[in-house]
Amino acid sequence: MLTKIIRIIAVLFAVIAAATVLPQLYYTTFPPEGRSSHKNICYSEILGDFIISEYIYSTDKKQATGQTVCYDRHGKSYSRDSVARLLLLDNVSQLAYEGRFPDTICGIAVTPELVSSEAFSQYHSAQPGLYYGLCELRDQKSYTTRTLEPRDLFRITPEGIQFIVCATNQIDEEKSRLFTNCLTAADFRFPALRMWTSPDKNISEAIGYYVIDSKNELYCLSMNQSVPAVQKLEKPDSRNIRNITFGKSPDIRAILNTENGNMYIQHPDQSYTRLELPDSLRKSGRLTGNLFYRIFTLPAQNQQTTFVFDRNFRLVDSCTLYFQPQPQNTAGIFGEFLFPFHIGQTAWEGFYADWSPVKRFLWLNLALAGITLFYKRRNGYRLSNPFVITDILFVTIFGIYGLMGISAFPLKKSREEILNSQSPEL
Amino acid sequence: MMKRYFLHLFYKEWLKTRWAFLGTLLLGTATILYIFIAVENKITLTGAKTILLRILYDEPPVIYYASFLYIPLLTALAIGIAQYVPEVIQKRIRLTLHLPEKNNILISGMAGFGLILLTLSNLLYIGLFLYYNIRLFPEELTKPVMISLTPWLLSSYIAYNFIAMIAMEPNKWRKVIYSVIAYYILQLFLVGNEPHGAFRESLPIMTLMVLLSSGLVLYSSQRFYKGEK
Repeated sequence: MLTKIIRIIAVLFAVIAAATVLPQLYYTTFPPEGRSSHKNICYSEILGDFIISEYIYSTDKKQATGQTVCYDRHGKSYSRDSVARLLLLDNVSQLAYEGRFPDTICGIAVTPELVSSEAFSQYHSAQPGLYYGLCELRDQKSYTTRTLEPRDLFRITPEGIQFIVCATNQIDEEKSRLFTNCLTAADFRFPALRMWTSPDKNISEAIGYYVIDSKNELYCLSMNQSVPAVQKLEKPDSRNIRNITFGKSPDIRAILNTENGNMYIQHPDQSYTRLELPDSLRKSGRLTGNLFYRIFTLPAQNQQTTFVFDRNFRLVDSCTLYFQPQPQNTAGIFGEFLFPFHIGQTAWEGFYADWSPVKRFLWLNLALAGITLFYKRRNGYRLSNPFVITDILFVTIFGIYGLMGISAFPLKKSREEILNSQSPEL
Repeated sequence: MMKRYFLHLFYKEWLKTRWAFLGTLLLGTATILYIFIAVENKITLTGAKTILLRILYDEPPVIYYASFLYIPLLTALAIGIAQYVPEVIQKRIRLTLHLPEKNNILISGMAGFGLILLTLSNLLYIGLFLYYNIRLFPEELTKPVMISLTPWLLSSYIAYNFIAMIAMEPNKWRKVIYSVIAYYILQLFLVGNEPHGAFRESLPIMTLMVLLSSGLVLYSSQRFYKGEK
């Protein structure tokens, strides 16, 4: 009995191993997807409308070729040359090189240098990133002298802030006390729940850290010539803050997500503007900017929505681009017939089982279960035996993996089954 | 009576495994010392803060303990092979299986001894690693690093249990099949090159797999005893 129970565990191990490796081998040998059409969307400051460019593949005489077509939302086509003249801010380098860059755009005098200096692009994640709770607080004047270059990293514990001197791994008690007192005076409640700073060293030095205290209040912590500077900041709304990204443009100090999915821009004067975006909870996007607009792109399943704001973050226009779901090739469809699921693991979400559509693999699983049933019956196994039933269940659920598992670890017949299978010959 | 059996059994297992155990223990200890000598060297060359920030926030992350990846696995291989392979090849295992005690208990005793040795070596590795890590780095790094090390340490139990199972299996083709299964199961545990503290969510399932795998040897030992092919 015990051996048979252990055999079930062994079969499960075989199923896990097979579900890990077989789909991987199969889909590496036969890639499930062919070429896809690539689409891109830009906002033309000349047209005041979106221009979509699409790279379309065509297979002619087994030779894959492709071409870029450009069109607007109404289906009007544009040549590549005219697109360059309609998207001046996106093609500034090329136009300046060819001597075709205009002196004015929309009535505003421009130079290539001005346009380039106004352009930026940054990613904003709705989910907080990697966080160890140990950060470097750089002095606002640390670029002036090495004496202001910090030798420590800090943490904010329930007892207060602690600066750890890296060389000795000891706490700098004096500095820690100074900063703890300053935070306490600003009504900061220890410990900190989360801290954010900019990956840009200059911004990080200038602003320091945005810190959420244990009461979910927002503070700015920085250091100026070794003296702590703590400021309590207004929150954009009554909700808790979920994530913060610091801006790359002078008019954007930070982008904040609140837990109800609202997204706010914090300006240098610490005022907020709520972006008219749909619920941005768990949605990460890219913010790009140019001389005239701030453009937010939110990708989703098989689609991407682009929101165009003016420099005051008032919504100007938006457009959703739909991507045709990839047509599956024969190998992909066959893979879903063959493999009921595949097992993998990711660094932050652990193990997962990705199931194929049931209607695809069910028939093969049932056929394999039928074969197993026939085999067991033919070889004298008693079908009322719970372990035989378990085997058939394994094949029905796990399909080809289950069949491999029960074949790798065959079920031993009971004494009664052996006697029964021998009796006709006796 | 039972206690005496186990004492004799453990002594027999110790005689078989001591050199493999001590050898891999020495190798593991030397690897950990090497890891931290290298870290201290880098701290001297580039400064403690720079190293700590690189370890915490570099992309891809600096996995300063990467050379420890296969050490628990190697320990399990050495103990498992020394404990089972010669005895099974030379058929001496039959003497154990014909002692006046239930086979499952005797085989569990043998496997239990191997698992105790593995646990001892893993505890020593953890202790030594923690000692140096806490000395050099703050706890904010030590905690996630220990989480990253856990799948590697758990892999040793999976490897040992599968080695015992494979060694006791009487059919050579099935040995090959079990080895392939063991290889791909181990692949799930030997994960690295991710930020410190990764695979935290996988740990409960990994632990469950380790616990379930501890009985596998009984399946093939039963087949070995019955002389099945």
